[in-house]
Amino acid sequence: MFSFLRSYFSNDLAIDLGTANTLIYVRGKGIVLDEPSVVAIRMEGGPNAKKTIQAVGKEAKEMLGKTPGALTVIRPMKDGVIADFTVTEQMLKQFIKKVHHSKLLAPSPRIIICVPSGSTQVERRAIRESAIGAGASQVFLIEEPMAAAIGAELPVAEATGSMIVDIGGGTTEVGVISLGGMVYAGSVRVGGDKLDEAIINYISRNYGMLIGENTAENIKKTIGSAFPGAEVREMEVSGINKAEGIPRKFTISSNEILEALTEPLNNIVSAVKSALEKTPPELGADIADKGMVLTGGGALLRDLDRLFMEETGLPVIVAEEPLTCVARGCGLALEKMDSLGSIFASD
Amino acid sequence: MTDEIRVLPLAGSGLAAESAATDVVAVAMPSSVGEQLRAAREARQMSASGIAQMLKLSVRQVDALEIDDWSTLPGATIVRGFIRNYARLVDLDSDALMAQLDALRTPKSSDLDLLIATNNAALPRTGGMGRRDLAVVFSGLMLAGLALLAYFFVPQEFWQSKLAEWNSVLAPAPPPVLAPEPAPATAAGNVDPLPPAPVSDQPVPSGTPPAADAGVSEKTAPPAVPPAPSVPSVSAVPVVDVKTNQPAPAGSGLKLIFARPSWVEIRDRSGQVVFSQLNPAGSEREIEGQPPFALIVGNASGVTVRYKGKNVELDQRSKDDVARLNLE
Repeated sequence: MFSFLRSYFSNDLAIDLGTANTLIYVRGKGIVLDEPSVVAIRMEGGPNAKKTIQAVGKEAKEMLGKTPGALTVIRPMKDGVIADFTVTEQMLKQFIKKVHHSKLLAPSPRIIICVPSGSTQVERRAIRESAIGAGASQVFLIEEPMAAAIGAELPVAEATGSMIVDIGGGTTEVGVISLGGMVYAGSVRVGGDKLDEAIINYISRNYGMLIGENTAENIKKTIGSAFPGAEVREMEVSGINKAEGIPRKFTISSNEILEALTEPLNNIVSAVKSALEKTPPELGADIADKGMVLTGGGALLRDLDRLFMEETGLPVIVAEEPLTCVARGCGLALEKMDSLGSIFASD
Repeated sequence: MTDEIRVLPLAGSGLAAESAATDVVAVAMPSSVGEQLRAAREARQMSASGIAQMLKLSVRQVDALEIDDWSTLPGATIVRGFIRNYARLVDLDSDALMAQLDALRTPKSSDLDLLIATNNAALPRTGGMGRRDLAVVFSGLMLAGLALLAYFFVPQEFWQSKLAEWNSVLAPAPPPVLAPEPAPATAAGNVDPLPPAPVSDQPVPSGTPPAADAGVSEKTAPPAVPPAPSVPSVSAVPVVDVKTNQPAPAGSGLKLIFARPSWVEIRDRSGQVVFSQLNPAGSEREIEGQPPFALIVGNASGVTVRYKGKNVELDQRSKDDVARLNLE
């Protein structure tokens, strides 16, 4: 009933609801929240048995893999879309509450949320519904490659082709953009999570050791690379020996990680090549001149741009601050939301 | 050493072949971005085509980067990316170069503004409801609303009186048309209609006997009389009607006396409702209209109906205390 009044007192938000991290941009303020998309839920027993949210974001991520029986840590997003509707809704509610300081009225902002370009109608509706459930008065969707291109300051509105490759936690989005719209959009469900998984499998297979997700991510960030370089790095890792069942330490080199990552990286490269094949020739000429731009957390993998350069023969640029490109792009769209219709996605 | 640093940017040639030169070049050279890149490349004894090969650029683009001619390159964002890649390849500090570029860069209005400018004229939607359709729908709704308001807020007596007025305007209209013909007939009496009837029939008999003389016609004239009564019997119908109609202008002779509250509906000859309302106890109503009347009388035991001066028995005609009867 008072939604109009509440939305008047609420700031508009742009949310990059990612598989790995959630970023929130507040109109007129910039990015105010950057936390992992993780929720810790405590199951209480006794006469008033119920589930309560123990922690959200960074705190919850620290608990990952270290919880007792009554506590479960959930990553409600998987492959760029919602895997657990209720938990996603609660997580969004908590994040929105964190960025809203008004105590008088419950926040009811207008929200822009980005969705993977390959997501289905059902997945998009789930994202929309969860944002409304979290208190949004209106929800607008924007496709991730478009948001990433705006955030990377590419000339999206001009009559020139720009190619963007956004490697997120759950998906890799490839888009060719011209005149404010997507000429080609492709999406593969390979991202940072799949790279971590590949490292876990490699170590399990070759070393007979079990490691956790956080450790795998740490290895990827520290010594992971996508292209053989002159320098070989090494790292000491702890895990549980499968045969003995005892924690052990071992050393792993960057060349081994490169070998582990080959398969998921090849999937990403073939998605990029497929996009190039399907690009109209005029835009292809622009892309040959400008190259492609990498955004998302995956772009931080060492020498990933080299890999793309060698595989495609095109110039490749890593965007400045690739982790926040999508959120910044959503934010720029938010600032001009009332006069921009063409960049938003339909259901 | 300081001489060498000064010479490097000015000369821009391959003077810095020494092993330590790259670090010095990166930190201390206060020259343009392109010059720093070229100096670093030459210090490493690399060719422009080699750099182009490594970065998948064309030699033209590498040359343009080195002479700071950015107008031929694809745009600020891309140029910054190319410079970062180049700097990484020749081990220059890209952050310092970016800071230098930031100082040069003129603040550019957002690219999205271009999209706003084209949003001026909207094409009409096909298939959807146009403005005209909406106007029709709205005016229809308004009319319906007005009708409802009139129905609920204008007192019922107003419509009753209006209806009676219209009836009185419409109903007496036919009698003046009918009246002139029967009026002389009634004035002349019941016997008089006979002569006009033979007169009207006369052309028919006169036509049938073609060769009739005056004497024959006298003889045939009496037989013409017997059919005459049959003719008046046909024409008698309007005459009788006229008789019953005659009191109509002075009232139908139908009177209702209500001892108890009762709802009554009366239809006249044309089937139109001439009277329909709830009547309070103790009231009386004279009904005007053309008989025969069809009456529906509620609460019939509390109503007395007088027609042509006589009381009409309602009890035998009523079922569940509602009487339905026709009065001729």
